[in-house]
Amino acid sequence: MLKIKRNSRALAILAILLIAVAIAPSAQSYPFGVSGVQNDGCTCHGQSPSEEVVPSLEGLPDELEFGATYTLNITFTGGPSGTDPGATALGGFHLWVSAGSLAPVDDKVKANPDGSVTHNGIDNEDSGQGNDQTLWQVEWTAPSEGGAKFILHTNSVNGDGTSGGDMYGRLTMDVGPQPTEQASGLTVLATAILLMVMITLGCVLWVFYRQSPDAFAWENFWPWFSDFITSTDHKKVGSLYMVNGLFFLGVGGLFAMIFRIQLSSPGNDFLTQDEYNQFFTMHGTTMIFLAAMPMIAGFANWIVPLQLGASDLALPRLNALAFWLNPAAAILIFSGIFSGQGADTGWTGYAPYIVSHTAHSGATLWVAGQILLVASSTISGINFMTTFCTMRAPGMGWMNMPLFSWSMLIATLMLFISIPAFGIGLIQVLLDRTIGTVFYEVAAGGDPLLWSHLFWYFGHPEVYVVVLPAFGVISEVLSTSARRTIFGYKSMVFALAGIGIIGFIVYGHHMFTSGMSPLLRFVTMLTTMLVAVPTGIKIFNWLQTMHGGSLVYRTHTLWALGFLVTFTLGGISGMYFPAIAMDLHLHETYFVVAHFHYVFVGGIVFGLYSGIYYWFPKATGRMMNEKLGILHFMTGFISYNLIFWPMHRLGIQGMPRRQHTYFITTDEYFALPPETADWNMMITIAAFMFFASNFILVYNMISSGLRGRKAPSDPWGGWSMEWMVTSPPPTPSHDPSNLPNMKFAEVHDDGDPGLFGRLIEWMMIPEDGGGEEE
Amino acid sequence: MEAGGDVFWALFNEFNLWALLVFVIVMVWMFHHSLRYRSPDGKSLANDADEFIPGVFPKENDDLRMELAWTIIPFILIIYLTFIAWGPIDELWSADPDAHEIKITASQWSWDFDCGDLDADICEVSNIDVEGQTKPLLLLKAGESYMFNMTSEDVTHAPFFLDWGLKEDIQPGMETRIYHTPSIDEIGASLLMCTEYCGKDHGYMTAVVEVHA
Amino acid sequence: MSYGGHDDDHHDHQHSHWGPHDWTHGHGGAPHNSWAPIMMAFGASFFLLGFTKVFTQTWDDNADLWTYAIHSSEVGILIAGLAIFFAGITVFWRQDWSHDGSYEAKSEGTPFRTIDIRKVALWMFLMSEMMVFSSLFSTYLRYRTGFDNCEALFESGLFVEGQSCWLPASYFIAEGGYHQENAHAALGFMPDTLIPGAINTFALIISSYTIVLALKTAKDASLSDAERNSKVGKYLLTTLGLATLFLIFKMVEWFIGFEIGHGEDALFHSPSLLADGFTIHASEYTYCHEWDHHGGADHAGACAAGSSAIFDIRMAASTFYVTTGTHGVHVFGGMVALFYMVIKAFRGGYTPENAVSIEYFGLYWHFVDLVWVLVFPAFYLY
Repeated sequence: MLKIKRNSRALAILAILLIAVAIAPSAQSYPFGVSGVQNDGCTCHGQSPSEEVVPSLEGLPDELEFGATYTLNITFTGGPSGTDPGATALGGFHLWVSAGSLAPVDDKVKANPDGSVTHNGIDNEDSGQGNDQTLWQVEWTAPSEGGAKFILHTNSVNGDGTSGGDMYGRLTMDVGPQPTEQASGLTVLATAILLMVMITLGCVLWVFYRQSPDAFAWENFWPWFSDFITSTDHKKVGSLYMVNGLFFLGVGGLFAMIFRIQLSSPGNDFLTQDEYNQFFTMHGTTMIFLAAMPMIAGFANWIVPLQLGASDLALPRLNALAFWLNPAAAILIFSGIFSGQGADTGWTGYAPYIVSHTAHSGATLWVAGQILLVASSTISGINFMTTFCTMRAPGMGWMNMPLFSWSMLIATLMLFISIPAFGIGLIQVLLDRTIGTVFYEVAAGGDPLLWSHLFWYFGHPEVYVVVLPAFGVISEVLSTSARRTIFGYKSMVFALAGIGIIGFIVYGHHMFTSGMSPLLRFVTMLTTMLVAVPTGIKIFNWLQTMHGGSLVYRTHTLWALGFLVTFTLGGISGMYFPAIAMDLHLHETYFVVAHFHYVFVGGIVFGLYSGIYYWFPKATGRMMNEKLGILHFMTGFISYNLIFWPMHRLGIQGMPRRQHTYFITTDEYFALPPETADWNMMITIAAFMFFASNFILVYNMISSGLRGRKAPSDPWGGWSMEWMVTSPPPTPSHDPSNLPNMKFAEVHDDGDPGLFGRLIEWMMIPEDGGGEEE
Repeated sequence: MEAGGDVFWALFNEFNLWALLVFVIVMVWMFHHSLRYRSPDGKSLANDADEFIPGVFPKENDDLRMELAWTIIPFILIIYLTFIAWGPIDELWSADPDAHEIKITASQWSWDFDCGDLDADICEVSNIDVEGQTKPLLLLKAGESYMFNMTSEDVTHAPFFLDWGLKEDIQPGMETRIYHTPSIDEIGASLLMCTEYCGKDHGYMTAVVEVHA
Repeated sequence: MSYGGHDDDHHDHQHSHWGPHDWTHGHGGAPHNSWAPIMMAFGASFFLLGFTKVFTQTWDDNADLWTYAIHSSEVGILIAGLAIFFAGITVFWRQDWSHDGSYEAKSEGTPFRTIDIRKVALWMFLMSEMMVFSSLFSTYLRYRTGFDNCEALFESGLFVEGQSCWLPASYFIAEGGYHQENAHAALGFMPDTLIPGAINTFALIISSYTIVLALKTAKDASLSDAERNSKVGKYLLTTLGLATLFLIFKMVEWFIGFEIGHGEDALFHSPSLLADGFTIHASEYTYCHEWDHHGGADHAGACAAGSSAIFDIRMAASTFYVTTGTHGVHVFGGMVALFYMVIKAFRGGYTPENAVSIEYFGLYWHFVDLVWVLVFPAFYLY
């Protein structure tokens, strides 16, 4: 009885926090004049506003007449201006208004592209420079309805030609009826992320407390915590990866929720275009690089050494380094967005937009962060490849590795070979944006397609990199749940390898409309079609695995079966793109969005959820709550399909992705059918349901991890070596002085290294033969 | 009117048929097996389920004929689908030497159509109001063959001819082309949108293309 | 108890998260805890943050151009980032300091059995490095083949002022460039700015040899400890010296130029690439087809009438500086490692049992050398 009470209290706290996330932000963020950071701010001299400088704005009426034009006088008093009689400049100003339009009266004032006005710095023979003045005039045309908010910055300049010693002041004025204050998307986001950080920290503290409530003492916290963050043990690093991945899965979801509100009705203005562009960019980046990749790395960290019968990974300290580069990169990537100038380039960051001046300055930081992620992937790639090559338990040949390990091997190899191209492309872009190299500068002859080639040479293998581990999880889960050896182990491995090879020669299908050579487009059309064959083999093998088995329905089984449904749909919809004639219509529409979410969410996330339920008892020594698990599956699976299935339809009707709004057919022209608005509203509602359903998982993980039933070492009856050790596994994971020996249910020639093994043996010079330099 | 051209719909319907077939096979197979071979606890190894012991590589479970079957049959299907997808490419990419050339220049964030010295009946540019913003309107004649010669002034853009189901990127420093002959079925005005992300006002970079008889 | 915690009874041999580490104790050998990863990761992050703050270009709307500026006041974050990063490396090394070869993890897997894990890892690393340089070379090939050569373009006469074309670095570096007229007058022959590049090539090749000598000496059990330590240290120090020489000559070639004698009387004068105008910002480079070598010191006025044109050579400069720069960063990384190895060698860290560390560094060093052998002809000779 006590336990139920405690459960419900925790749920209530969670619910209150969720509601707080939804309603807390209620203030519009207005520009504050940070130098060059915000569009609406000013490039003021001096770091903080000074009280000495008093700006004034005259000419505004008490009763606003809608649509009328007013002449405004801008001036200021105080500050260093005019103290030096020989000064070349006296002052400057920047005026921003939320509604209506501003126009200069004479050439002392100029209009900015964003609608604000500022003094003119260009010398003019007749009237002198705009910054020789302390009084300026502008005209303001009032909006046809509603009031406006003015923000005026004035600079008081000492005229020594530098910005040193100058001061600025700030004034805000309201005119006419003010709108009820509405939360801006950025404020909602900032508040929500802050709350998520606090919840995460709270969870960490709670977990620490619950481990031994009786012996709780604050001075024990730091040793416990620092043991985690300095750990090089593959299990602790794996846990860090999982926490990191799940946290950013939530953050990426938040981005999606916020721009789904924007898209819920046509012509919505919940987000500005700038915000919308940043949010979908960050959604993609966060989900792929900061959520999916770390979660996969988390599984790989936890499971691969256990499955291989190794005591740890080959290079434990570099493993920790690869992890810590993730949060370090996340800081860079996110710092742009909170300056109001986050990357707005899409996750593909296409050149030349990314090196153009219209792209936000935060794109530089985005690129810098991605470079760190490339470094992280390279380091963990070296680590895992080495582990696979050198740390398999005695007797375990290449063709005896469990399929999850095989899938990680192929995925790591693909990532490892493809990601340097991306890294070099990123470095080129970073240098283009900072020191002024011209790799993608069209005026200097830069080739926009070069970036596309470098990006997609990495980008397409990347999608297999994230989906192959999910294949591995499904292979393990289905086989164990059905009590049947996976059907066609060898063809599964060859299919993985086939996907790995074909994956490198298909990337041109992302560029069917890019103006690339028609011959290349045609070749990649053929190779892309081919990918369906190994993928099909895998699906049919999974299906046949169940034949003659005894399928046990547990949460991880449900997710695996759900994966089969959604991944098959995602795979089939993928077959529409290589047909170039169809791709020309479907490219860059919601059909693409639907397809890759069916693969990414229905494939990867479902696969990883299945893996969480499957290996959770191994990792924590506690069983997960099956009832909550089934609730999570039912709500998640249904709401997920409600989000993405209608998107196919929207795409065929021609709704383009990455657009701030969409246009409904009118009498004058044909566009999207009117019911598009209803579909979008439904998608938004379903998206919120899906988002909420994932908190069931988080709650289940925390509560089961602390209070769940104790787990035996082999709760599901699997065969691979992670089930040989206790739950949770000891450190080192397998005793290095007594490594497990692979045994075989059938007579098996384990002394034979096989063709591949012999080839490598032939290539390697044996150690006792002396170094090769001799 | 309907989004997507004739070529798109012909292929789409054919692909849908095969997609449905594959999906139904997979679903029937999955539901049949997962329900037929279920067991409440997994311990009642009613069927010929394998015994798993941690650390022991299980008995092999494969059948070369079946595996070959679902390698070869999908492969044949793929070849067929490639074959039917092949022809339309020719149709889309073949140049008609007598086509009327229309220049499209894209810049952030507007379209500029240039009819050159074509007759006003065949090609004309004017303005139209799209949700309160003035956008260019391109008037074309059904049955005439057009070649759109496209270039960009700044970054990558892509015009999406919604009604014809065609799009092609416009790269700065490069010329790309679209060929199309609007049919009588395609008479009417439809919205042209930008479908390669190009910055702040990307979502509002629109124009209207009207085909008249 | 769950979610980790102190459930392992093997951590008691863990002296400190900062090092030094006891490699002989316990099972796994490698440290269980280290502050190095978190410091290095966040150090790198701050460094990049500082980098983007120091090197910021702003768009000038009126001129329709980027303006480049180095914001030296922002250099604090950059330096702090580097400091944290190298502090992290120091922690890493403190833990490695006690590694004496008594614990060397060996491979268990079938094809690589009994081979050092570190060796396999290093080959894996070199595999990804190969992809790094392949990407750089594919960029180079794309642009080199896609651009007209400036000289050929000028000779054809079909050019527009300000057109972008390819003026290879070898034009400035190898004999036949225009900038040695001063030395020509003094010496009677054309000196060659290829000299720093050539010296560099030989410096790297020799350093590859000295690193092998270091390994050979370290493996030599017939030497006394003191003798071996001193010799290994000296060979490593020579390698470090040659690498330093390489980078210094590179800086000279890029930024400083060579001069023997002064001003008008200079006996040997070859300006740096920067002084010659071969920069990434050279959107208006004055190309001179036929320099009049009798024109005296002021080569700006020495271009024969009608043989000059303004070209945009930024792409050639960008590929040159970034490709050779990436290689230079690799040399620098090697130098950082060598610095540690030199100290360790003199302190007796490399014995016949622990000589393989030198071998594995040597693998990397040979690779860097090999890349230079590819970079050199592509950028200096052609």
